[in-house]
Amino acid sequence: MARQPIPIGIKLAGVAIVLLMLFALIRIPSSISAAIAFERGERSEQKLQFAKAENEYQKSVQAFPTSDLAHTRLFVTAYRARDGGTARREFEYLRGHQLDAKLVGEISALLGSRH
Amino acid sequence: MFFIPGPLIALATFPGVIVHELAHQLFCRWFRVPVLKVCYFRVGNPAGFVIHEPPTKTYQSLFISIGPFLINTIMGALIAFPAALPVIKFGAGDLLDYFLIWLGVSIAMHAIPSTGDAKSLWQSVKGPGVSSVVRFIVAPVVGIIYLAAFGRVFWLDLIYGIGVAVGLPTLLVAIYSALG
Repeated sequence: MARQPIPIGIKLAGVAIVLLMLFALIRIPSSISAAIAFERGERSEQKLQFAKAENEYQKSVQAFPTSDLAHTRLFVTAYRARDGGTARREFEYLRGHQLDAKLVGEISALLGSRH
Repeated sequence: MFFIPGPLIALATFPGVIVHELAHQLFCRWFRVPVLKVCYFRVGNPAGFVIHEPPTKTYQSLFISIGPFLINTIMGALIAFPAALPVIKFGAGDLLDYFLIWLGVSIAMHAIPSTGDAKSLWQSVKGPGVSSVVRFIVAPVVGIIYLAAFGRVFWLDLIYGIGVAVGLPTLLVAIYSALG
């Protein structure tokens, strides 16, 4: 039977792609957990369960510490749950970042509504 | 709608072409179908091809034709999955995430079998000795492949690639969190 050999370059490319896939597979559980936590956080926030939402957003921030969106949601819910320590820490983090207008608007509205 | 020449698209998404042809070749090997010539990638039309002897059984033809659809779809989805979530959901992707998304989309968008694949699949059931039941099963597959190949004109392959690599993770998370 004629057996067309697979060139070494293609074998190496195939191995590289499989390794990348394995690397991706290792990261899947933490990505999914963080994304699910974020979704649950959003749902809890809608139900005005801010402490629960804050807890979920904490998980997202731990998985994606560079996400301004996750930090903003954590700040908002911590503030509303009266968790001063977390709210202050998150505010300090956000203050040093260029946020999009919608997030800035939400934070401004929240702080502006303080009694 | 704007037109980009096929070879340019193939060049920008070359890993997908290589995986597609490699999948054809591997399915030929698994079914012990002799492979005569393989082109994994070239700047031309088609961007890659595998020439093999006719398989002896219809199911072999079926798997050799649709094998890349399965392999490219699964690999594209798995590679892009963890990278798509930080980019799409959290806006916090790094360079590696963007690279993995490009790789995942490139591989998934070349999942769709070519008209050549459809032609060889149809050839395998056209001859005598093939039951009409088998033809009845294979005919819609061939039809879908032709339709999908036609859909490439409307960027169906890119839409499919993005859907598999980026849309699927987002959808799965939404479903899972709604259920949980």
